[in-house]
Amino acid sequence: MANAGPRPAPSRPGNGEDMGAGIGPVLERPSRRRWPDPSLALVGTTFWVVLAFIVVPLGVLAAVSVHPGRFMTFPPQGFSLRWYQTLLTSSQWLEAIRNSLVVALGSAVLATSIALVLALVLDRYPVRFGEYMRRLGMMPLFLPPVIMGVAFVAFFYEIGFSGRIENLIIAHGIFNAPFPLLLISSGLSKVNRELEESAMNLGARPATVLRTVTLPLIRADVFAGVLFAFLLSLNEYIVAFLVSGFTVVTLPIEIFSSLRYSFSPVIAAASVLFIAGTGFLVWLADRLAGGLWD
Amino acid sequence: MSQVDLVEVTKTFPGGVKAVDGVSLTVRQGEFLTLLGPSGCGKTTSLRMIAGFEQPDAGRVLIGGRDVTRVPPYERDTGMVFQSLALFPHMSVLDNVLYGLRMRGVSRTEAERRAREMLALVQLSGYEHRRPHQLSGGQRQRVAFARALAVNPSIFLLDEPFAALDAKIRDELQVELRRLQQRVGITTVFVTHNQREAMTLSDRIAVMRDGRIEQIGSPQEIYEDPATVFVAGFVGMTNLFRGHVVERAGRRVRVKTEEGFVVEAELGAGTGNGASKDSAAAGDVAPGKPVTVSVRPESVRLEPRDQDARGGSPAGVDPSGGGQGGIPVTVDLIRFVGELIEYHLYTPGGQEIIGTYQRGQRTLSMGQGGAAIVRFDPKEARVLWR
Amino acid sequence: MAVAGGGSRSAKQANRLVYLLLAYPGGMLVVFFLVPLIMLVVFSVYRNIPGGGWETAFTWDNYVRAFERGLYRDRLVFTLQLSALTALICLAMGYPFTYYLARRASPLVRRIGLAATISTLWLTYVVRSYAWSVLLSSTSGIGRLLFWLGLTERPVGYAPGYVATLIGMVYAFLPFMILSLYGSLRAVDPSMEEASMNLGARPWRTFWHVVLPLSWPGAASGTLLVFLLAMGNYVVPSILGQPAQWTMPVIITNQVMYESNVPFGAAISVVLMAVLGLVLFAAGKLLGAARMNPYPGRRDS
Repeated sequence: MANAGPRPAPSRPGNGEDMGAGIGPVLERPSRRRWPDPSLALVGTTFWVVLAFIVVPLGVLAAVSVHPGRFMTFPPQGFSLRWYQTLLTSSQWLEAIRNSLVVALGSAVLATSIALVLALVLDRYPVRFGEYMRRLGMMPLFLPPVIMGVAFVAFFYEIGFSGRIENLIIAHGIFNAPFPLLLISSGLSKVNRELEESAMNLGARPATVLRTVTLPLIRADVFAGVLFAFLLSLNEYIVAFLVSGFTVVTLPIEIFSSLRYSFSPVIAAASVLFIAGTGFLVWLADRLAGGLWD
Repeated sequence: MSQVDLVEVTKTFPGGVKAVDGVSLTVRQGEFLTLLGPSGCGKTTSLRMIAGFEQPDAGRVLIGGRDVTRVPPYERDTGMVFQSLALFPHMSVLDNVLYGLRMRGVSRTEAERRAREMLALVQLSGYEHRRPHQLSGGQRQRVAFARALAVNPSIFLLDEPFAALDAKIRDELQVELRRLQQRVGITTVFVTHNQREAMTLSDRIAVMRDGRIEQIGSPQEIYEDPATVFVAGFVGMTNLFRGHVVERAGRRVRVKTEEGFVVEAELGAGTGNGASKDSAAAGDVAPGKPVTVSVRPESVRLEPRDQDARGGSPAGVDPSGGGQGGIPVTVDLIRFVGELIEYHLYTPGGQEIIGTYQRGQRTLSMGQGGAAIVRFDPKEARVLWR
Repeated sequence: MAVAGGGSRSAKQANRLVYLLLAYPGGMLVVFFLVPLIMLVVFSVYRNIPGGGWETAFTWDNYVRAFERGLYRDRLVFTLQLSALTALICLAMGYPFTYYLARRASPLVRRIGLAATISTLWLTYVVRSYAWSVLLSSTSGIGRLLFWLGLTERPVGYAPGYVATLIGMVYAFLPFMILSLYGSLRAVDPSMEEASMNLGARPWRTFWHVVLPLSWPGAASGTLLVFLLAMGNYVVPSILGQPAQWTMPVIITNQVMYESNVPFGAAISVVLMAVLGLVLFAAGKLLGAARMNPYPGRRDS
């Protein structure tokens, strides 16, 4: 290849002329090895435009939430926290926040406890029944939430136990179980089996091995599982709406129904709180799970 | 400190792979015994059966004369060093060493005294509060030794513990392991696929292959008197010549190789002592039987050869004269390997022969392409079954 | 792998313990997931009593209604179209974005891009749709800005409507596409690109022959994921759409919540589930075949 010279090398038998075509110019002008500037610039521009598409709407919400007037105007007419004050003094909104936190916390604990026991048992004793349960536990991931919601409605109606906050906790607990299940299973698969054997070799019984070695090693995954389930429940609308049957109002339900009747900037304030809380929890979960996306 | 016995132990894994096939083995009290073999030979499975992580399908495991075949690992009182070392990453060095003592209900102060004593023994005083990931590879290794030995186990088990280390540290730690083992005087079973490691560390070596023991003996016996072609080839380098027995007088055997050269070799003292049925039983070696002659590279002697001799008597072999005629070869390559000079030679039929000389030893002034004759002392050549 | 060790007696005990331990997650999943799913199917053959309630029955009426009325067929077709369009737009926007994010951006920019993507991913659809309804409203959004700039005579509102629904859908699911692509684009070893260029391929060729084939699985699964999520979404079309933009989930929810017709809601849920199952199955066949050879008719890539 080094002696290919300035002219494109003659096409070699068998392996395509595409390769030869580039050689001469590349050798002559090394700068052509990089991306041609126009295409990279195009990709770069697209990147920033799409990033703006993602971020700007949320920025606008923030702007609306601190805008004193009922409607956003250009240019803005100043800065005010009155909508946040309204939000945090309204018993209706506070009730929604409280319900959301209760459901999120309860369902996160439920989802993670199901996932933890299932993952731990299956990691050690891969019995067939358990594998079916694992598949069942992962299924909500592939089912549209509306359908899950209607199924819960039918179920809770049939057993005559509807419109209670416990139903939401159970529905969200089951619906969000795949996430801790995935996290904990992958955490367990990374635990070196020899660590557990080593503990046993040093005299620890199986229960002690679990307490002193296995659980400490997957602690971060368990916490990340709780956080993700919490986050999902906090942000979930349609299952909660269907299961609650208008009796239990969570924050997304409250925001949604406020939208129907008004266009108050209080909704924007609630949304901003929501965004901040979600962002914080995502950051926390990511830290715990040790960089889930990179 | 106890003896370990494996009695007719067999282990088949799901899928029908027979990992260990009727192995019987006694590790003597205080002995350093190495299970040596290629991967998949059953050495690790054998070790894990001693530790209690695998249950044999048949046969018994005895530790100190007590049948522990059905005893769970946490009641076996063995100290094991794992291939990955398996140091608990969430505990400090001290807590790692304390772990076994705590499991045995040793009081906190006594346990700590003992743990610090062990860390001092492996020269890691001052590292008590480090986490394993803050240590070097060699230091981690020593923590693993200290942790396994802190509980004063009756048996010390090591599963390829040096696999992840670079050569220099490995050498240092081997010396340290041997010293430690002798000081504590503990019965030790060591698993490795590295024959050099096995040779330098062990009192005895059991060479395994396909779930069976091919030969068991001291490093010297294994090296000088390999029982089978496999052992000869696995432990150290060797040149193998396939042929048929021409004549036998006592231990001395004359063999005609497949290329038609007649060479002389001896039946080893250890021949036939291996557990494997492949080893040559001395009585069966008779004229006409197919055998293999094994000659170590350092036993190969090179003599200059007149190029013209090639056309003369068959390959310049002189069957008479008490010795052997030797094998005509051409020098293909000369390599300097540390303190050795390695000659790569080819027979007329294309078989490669390797001969080594110590640097400074008298060598031939012969370059690549030169002609030579290979001879060896029959006392240093072994007759083996094919 | 016999970890617990011990004799056959304790092995039997361990076995019993396993089933005892599995009783909790297994019981929860069976009672609160499997049984509700069965109840969904069972409800779909119950008879609705107009004005509230239903009676236990075995009737195909609900299914007949779902298929006979053109309304529901139209809604299903609309939902499929909207979801497919959403998936394609997400791919078109997401691919260059993610290519830059994964392979060209500086570490700082990459962190910013990922943080923005991931935090919006988790944010409830309600808030995300609300943001666009503000942005597209005549009172506070783009319409207002254009008016202020003198580009329109009066503030124009773009929501609710078809375009608003489509934008909202893309906005809702773009993060899923980006994260699907990110893993596979990030996994392409930079030295492969360099090797390709070293062999004389120009950048575009390198991209076409090396990066694109290797990121193909991420693009395919991302597109499928977005399509399926869009098919099941209730919030976006009901906030950003008019009745003409209502998708199947909106119809289902309206039946269950506002018409109190749970049996019919269940029936169209089953229909939707069947359609989605069919799509998944077909996609699995298609992707399974395509994954082995991203360029049909060529074997060298």
